[in-house]
Amino acid sequence: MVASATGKGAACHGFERGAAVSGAESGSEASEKDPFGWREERDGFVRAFAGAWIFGIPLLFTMEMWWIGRTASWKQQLVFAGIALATCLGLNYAAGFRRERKPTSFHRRMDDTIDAFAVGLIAATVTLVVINRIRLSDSLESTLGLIVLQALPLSVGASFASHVFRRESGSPSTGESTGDEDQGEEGELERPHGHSQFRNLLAELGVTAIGGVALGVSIAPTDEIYLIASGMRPVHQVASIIFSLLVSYAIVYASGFGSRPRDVPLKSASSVTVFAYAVSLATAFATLVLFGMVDLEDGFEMIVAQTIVMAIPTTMGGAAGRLLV
Amino acid sequence: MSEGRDSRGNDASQKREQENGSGGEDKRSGAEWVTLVLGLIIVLGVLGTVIWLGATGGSRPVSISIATHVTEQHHFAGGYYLPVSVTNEGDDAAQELQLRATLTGPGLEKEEVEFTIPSLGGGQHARAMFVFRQDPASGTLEILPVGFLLP
Repeated sequence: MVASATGKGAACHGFERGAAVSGAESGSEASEKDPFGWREERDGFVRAFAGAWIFGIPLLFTMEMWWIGRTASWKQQLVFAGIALATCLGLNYAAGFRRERKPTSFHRRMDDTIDAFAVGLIAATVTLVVINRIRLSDSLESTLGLIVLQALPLSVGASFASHVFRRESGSPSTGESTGDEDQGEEGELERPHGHSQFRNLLAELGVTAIGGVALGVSIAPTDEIYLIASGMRPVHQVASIIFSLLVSYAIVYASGFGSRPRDVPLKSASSVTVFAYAVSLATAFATLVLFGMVDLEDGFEMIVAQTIVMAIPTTMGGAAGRLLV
Repeated sequence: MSEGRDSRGNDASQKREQENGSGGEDKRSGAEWVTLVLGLIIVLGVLGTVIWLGATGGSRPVSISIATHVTEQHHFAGGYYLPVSVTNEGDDAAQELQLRATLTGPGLEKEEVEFTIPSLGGGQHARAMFVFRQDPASGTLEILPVGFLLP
C-alpha cells in the first residue's frame, strides 16, 4: 500500500516518510500511479539537493571561496565548470542521485551530469542569497564567478547522493525490531510502547545533536559565522530559519530515503522537523560558545544572529545524522 | 518476482534495470525530459553568460573610485564616522586593497586613517567606514587607494 508522505492515518508509527520507504509496493503499481515519473524525479532531485548541501555547506561558509569566486576571470570560471561537469560524470558512473531509474548509457549519464550541475548552481544561488553573500549591488561577473565556483562542490555532493543516502529495508531504530527493547511485557511488536517512544525521542535528539556537532565543528571556529551574521538583515535571518527547516525536512523525509523513522511521540514529520531544529539551534549555540566565538556579554541581537547562521550547518548535520544512524 | 524479493526489496528496481540494459530501454520518462530541459537552460544560460561577459568585457586595469557620504556621517564617543563607497571601475580584480584617508585643514592636526578591503572584483562595490578623531567636514579630506595585490 502506498503510504502517505505526511503520515496521516498511520496508527502504529509516529509518521511515515513515503512510498519509497515502505518497500511494499511493486514497481508496476508505482508506474501505474505515476506514469509520468514525477514522483521518482522528485525523490531523485530532493536526494540530489540534500547531498549537495551536506557535502558543500562547509565550503559555502568559507570566505576564501567567496574571494576566489568573485575575483575569478571568465576563463577560470569555465575551468571550474568543466571540472565540476567532469567530476559529476565520473561519479554518475558509480553513484549518481537517481535510484529507481539508474542510467546505463553515456548520454543518459550526461543528462544526470547536467542535472547535477544545475542542482549545484541552484543550491549555491539559494544559499548565498539567504546568507546575504549575493547582493543586488554586486556586479554580474563577480556574482557568476561566486556561484560557479560554489557549484563545484555542491554538484559533486549531488552526484553521489544515492550512494550516501542508502535505503534500509529495516532498521533497529524502529519500534518493530526484536532487539533488546523492553517490549517483552506484551511480546508484541506492532503497537509501540510509551517508554520506547520516549527512548526513541532521546535517540533522535542525540543523533541530531551529534550530527550537528560533526558538521559544525569544521565551521564554528572560523570567522565566517560572525561575518555572515553581521551582514544579515532580519529578512535574511528569517530566510535562514525557513531554509534550515525546509532542507532538514527534505533531507530526512521528502524523498523517503535512509533508515525508517523512529517511533517517537511527535506524530507528524513537521513536528519532528521543528523539534530537531530546536535541538540544532541549541547545538549551534553550544558549539559557538565552546570555541569562544560568542561572548555572552555580546549584544543579544548578535548572539541570536550568529546562532541562526550556525544553525544552518548544524541542522543539515543533524538531519544527516538522523538519516544515517 | 518469481525469484522473490531480496532483503532490500530491490526486486522491482532490478527488473527495471534489466529492462533498461537489455533492450535499449534506457528511455527518459516525461518528467526526466522536463528536468533535463530545465537543467540545460540553467547550465547553458550560466555558462553562456560567462562566455558572453568574457568576450564583450574588456581587460581594463583596476581603477578605484571612492565616494563619501557626508550626509550619513555621525558622531559617537569621540569618533566621527564617515561612510564611503568604493567601486572597482576596472575589469581586473584587486586583492588586499588599501585605502588611506588624509584629513587636513586650518586648526586641524593632520590625521591619516587607513582601511583594507580583502578583495574587490571588477565592477564590484563595497562600503566602508572611516573613523576620525576630528570632524572631516571641517577640513579637507583626501581618500586615495594606496596599493593592492593582483590575483
